[in-house]
Amino acid sequence: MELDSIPEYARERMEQIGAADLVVGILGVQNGQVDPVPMIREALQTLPGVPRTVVIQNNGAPHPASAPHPASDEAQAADHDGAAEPPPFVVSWRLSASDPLTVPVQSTSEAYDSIFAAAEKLGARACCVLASNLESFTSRWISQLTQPLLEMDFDLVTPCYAHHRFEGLINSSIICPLSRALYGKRIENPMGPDLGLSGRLLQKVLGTSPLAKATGNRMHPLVSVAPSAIDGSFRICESHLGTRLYPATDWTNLSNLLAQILGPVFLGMERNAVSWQKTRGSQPVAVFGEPAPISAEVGAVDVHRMIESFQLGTRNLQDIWSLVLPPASLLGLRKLAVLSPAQFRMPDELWVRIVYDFALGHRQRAISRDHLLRAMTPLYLGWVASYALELETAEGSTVEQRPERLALAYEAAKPYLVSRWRWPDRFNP
Amino acid sequence: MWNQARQALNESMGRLLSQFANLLPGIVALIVALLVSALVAWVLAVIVRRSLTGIHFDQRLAGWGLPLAEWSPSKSPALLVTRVVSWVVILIGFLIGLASFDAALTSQLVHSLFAYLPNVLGALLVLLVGNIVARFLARSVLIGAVNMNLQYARLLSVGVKWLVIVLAVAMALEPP
Repeated sequence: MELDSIPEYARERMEQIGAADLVVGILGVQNGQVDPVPMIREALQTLPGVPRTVVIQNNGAPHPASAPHPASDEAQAADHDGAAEPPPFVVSWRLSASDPLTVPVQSTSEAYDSIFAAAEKLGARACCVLASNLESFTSRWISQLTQPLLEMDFDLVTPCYAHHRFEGLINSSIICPLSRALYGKRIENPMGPDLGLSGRLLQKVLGTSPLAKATGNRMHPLVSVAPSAIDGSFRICESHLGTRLYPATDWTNLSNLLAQILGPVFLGMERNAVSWQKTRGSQPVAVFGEPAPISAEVGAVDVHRMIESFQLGTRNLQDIWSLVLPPASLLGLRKLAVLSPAQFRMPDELWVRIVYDFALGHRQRAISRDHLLRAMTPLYLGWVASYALELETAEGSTVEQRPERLALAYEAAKPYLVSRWRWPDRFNP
Repeated sequence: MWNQARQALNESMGRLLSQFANLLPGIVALIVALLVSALVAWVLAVIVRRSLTGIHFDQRLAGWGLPLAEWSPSKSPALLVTRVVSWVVILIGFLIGLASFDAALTSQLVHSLFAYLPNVLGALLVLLVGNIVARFLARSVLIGAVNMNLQYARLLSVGVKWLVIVLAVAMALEPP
């Protein structure tokens, strides 16, 4: 199915290329200002053995280097054998309808699937996907994501970014700590979006391994990568990539974003329920590169508007929240809604239980799943407001330790999740 | 004259008793039919209630968003279905008992009821679907309006709900 999404001319080009050691997928749309191919060429210089590399670009028009020229390919291959400069082969097609930074996660899943399928077809030992803004990544990113795969036999390389304190909050508040509590590995960005995978892990994620075919296990690629790697005891590491340019948060469209991100995450929880229920605690993974400090820049967050949204949600969505949240949580939220902004602090324990209860509600289909996830938006805004107020004037060390505190709260509340997951009838709000 | 009055009274009493005697078998038959139908209704109610409880009927309906709980006694759609089944059986027993008085009357009554039944069922279906759609749209509007920070979110939601319900009622009442 994934190969069907690759245009005919691109498939022919890949057949001409034959095989590759490394496939680099660039999801950022080419705007003519930044050409990533020279950066990739520069990065390949740092890798031993000069791997045979194919670059897959997200572009409507074929890249000049991707046009099928058998004569020049042979010349390039001959040069490759003898000369110092490896030519990455470039194949371009439209991987996603528009800029992946602005489109929801689900629409980029096809782009990831296509790149993974192309890498598998080419028999690549490693595959690296770069989805961030083209202007933010450097050749160092490519080296950091591919070196552990090619030289140190790791199977999954996830990124660590330097960002200011109010960026990447969905990851900080839900994805990262939830993944850590469920699967027992401390991965800062389990859903990338910039990732490096080995050929072995690709097979598992694509569902082409015999076991995956037999079990029919096929999930959203970004959601399934980290759990698949952990479940299959693959070697995982993180690489510090530096500063990432996060897309500006569209606070008016937050409910769409939450629904599109959390939907696959909660579905992934259902699929992997057998494995995560057995996990206790968490272990760190290997880390490469030097971490950059969290930016001192505070960023603009309209806390008052968020508190208003939270209060409006508390007044109007109690009937919906009461379908998934227990009375204790509802009482906690009502008490929080009457606090002044200066005192507005959502306890980590409350937030963690809310996330777990919504995951359970999603599984039990207490109401339409789309409604459920969108009804979570005011609660998320309440958490963001509380987080922003707490860290507004905090020092660097406090800011760095804050995510760890939240992650520990997720781990501490995991028995609650497990017991409600196994025996849902024992307690129904 | 007194003898004539007494004779007239005796005759009218005789006619009354005669008519009562003619009706008595029918009354007895009606009472028996009601008693039997009540017994059958009770047995069916127990079976239906146990079956619906066994398949978690109330929880499933709540999960599907069907609004029956609001109209049900003790907020239990299973109890509502059980009572509907019981009363239908009792009504059938009543109609059977009624046939013992005048078979033609019962036949006409049943015939007119069954002739109108498809219209009633169609209207009920339209109302049910309309209610489900109304609740779904109301919830969508409520969540969307809250997420857009609209203070009148609940008013908007109630307005949409009643708009759809009124439309459904209008469609249900429309003559075939």
